[in-house]
Amino acid sequence: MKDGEILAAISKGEESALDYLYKKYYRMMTKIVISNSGSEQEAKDIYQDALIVFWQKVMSGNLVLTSKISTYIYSICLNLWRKELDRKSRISGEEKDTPVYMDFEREERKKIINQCINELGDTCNKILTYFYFDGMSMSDIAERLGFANTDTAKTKKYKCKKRLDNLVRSKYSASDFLD
Amino acid sequence: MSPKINFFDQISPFLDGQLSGTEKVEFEKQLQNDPLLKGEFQFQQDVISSVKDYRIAQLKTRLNNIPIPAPNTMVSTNLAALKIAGSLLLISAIGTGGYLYYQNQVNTQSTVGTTSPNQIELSEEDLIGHTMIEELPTPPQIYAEDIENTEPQEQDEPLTVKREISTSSSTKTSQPQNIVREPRSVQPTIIEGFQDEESFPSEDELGLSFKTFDEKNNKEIAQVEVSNTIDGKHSFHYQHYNNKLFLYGDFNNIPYEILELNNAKGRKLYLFYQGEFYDIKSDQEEIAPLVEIKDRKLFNQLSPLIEN
Repeated sequence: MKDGEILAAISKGEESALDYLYKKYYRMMTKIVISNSGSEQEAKDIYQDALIVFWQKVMSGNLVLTSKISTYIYSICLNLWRKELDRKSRISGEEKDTPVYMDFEREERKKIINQCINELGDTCNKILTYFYFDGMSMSDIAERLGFANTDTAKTKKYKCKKRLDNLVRSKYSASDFLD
Repeated sequence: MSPKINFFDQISPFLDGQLSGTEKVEFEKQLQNDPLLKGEFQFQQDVISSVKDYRIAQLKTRLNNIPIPAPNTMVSTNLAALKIAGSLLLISAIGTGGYLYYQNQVNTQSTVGTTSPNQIELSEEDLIGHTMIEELPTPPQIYAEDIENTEPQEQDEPLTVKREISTSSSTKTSQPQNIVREPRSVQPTIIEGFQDEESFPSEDELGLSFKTFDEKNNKEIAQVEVSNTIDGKHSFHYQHYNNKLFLYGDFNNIPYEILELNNAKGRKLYLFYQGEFYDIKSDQEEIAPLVEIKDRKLFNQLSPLIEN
């Protein structure tokens, strides 16, 4: 596949294009991390994160690519790994006996939210994912999902978000009450 | 409408980036001052963050299920590829080297063979002559054999000349010591030198069949045997019959030459001695003195043959 074909496929939401990229540049991209004191697993995580960033950029419709896809992903990998190395150095610089604060309440809440997302319908799941994760405009979401217009998409999105909110709140409240 | 729903309607526009600058500032002030609003804001943030994380987890699960060759396999694959590439490079290097070597050889040969552009236009005869210089090791021996087999011939070439130089210093019999063939009769001999050359066409292909020429003439031209006798009775005589020439006398130990002329009419012998030509008849069975040729016209015709 050529770069233009990959971009076109990803902008349509075709995940197979991401699979293609992942296989094609796996060794090239993970080598960046491995050759810079990273492990194989860290390299894999960084590369997957970089691909997801690339996916989001393409899906949002705001990406103006002036280089090859491989060059762009390479730069994302490099930046992500630098951030990770910075984070590691910060952690190693902190006092080791300082207890790590764990927001158990928020962690528990996230688990409940994930459970509620699973319970949402396919349309609501797509609308919320397109809007919050992919950063798509309401007009693009309307077009992608075959809604009549942007307002319809906005209304749908409001209702789906409200439904998830209520769903999570109901479950969270119930567990809260049980404590 | 419950207060939480009001919070939802307040918070969602902010999180969705739908508020203007001033509305944004106003909301942030409320957020700092209202703990309930702040708590609800964090809740909304977690919901949106979870939606994102959910999708990331989906994509990562998909990517993790894509089979990637193990590093070792990749290394071995790379090594195999390197081996193949190396082999290809080696083959191409050998091929290139061979090609360049061949080119050099060709160029060298071309340089030798084409020192002058004019040589490209040389005729086949010129090429033959050129090769003869390199290929024919001992042409005089070939000439000697050929000339002894030479007889009058029915060729377009009317005249062939055989020349013998001898002295009477030998005791009884004097064989020809040096035989020179004139250029016209020599030419076919040159072709014989190509018999072993695979790169050249055969004699038949060239239309030059010297062997056939010789074989044909061997049947017609008998060999002339020359002998010299000193009997004390005859000082400057001869006999000539049955293709045998007997010379009598010591010739004062001065070399003489036998000149043989062949044409369609037959063969004629002359003896050249001390600047003069002597007639030798073909059927002279009796010993007879050598008679000097007085005909100046004939003398003038024979002289160039001797000089050559």
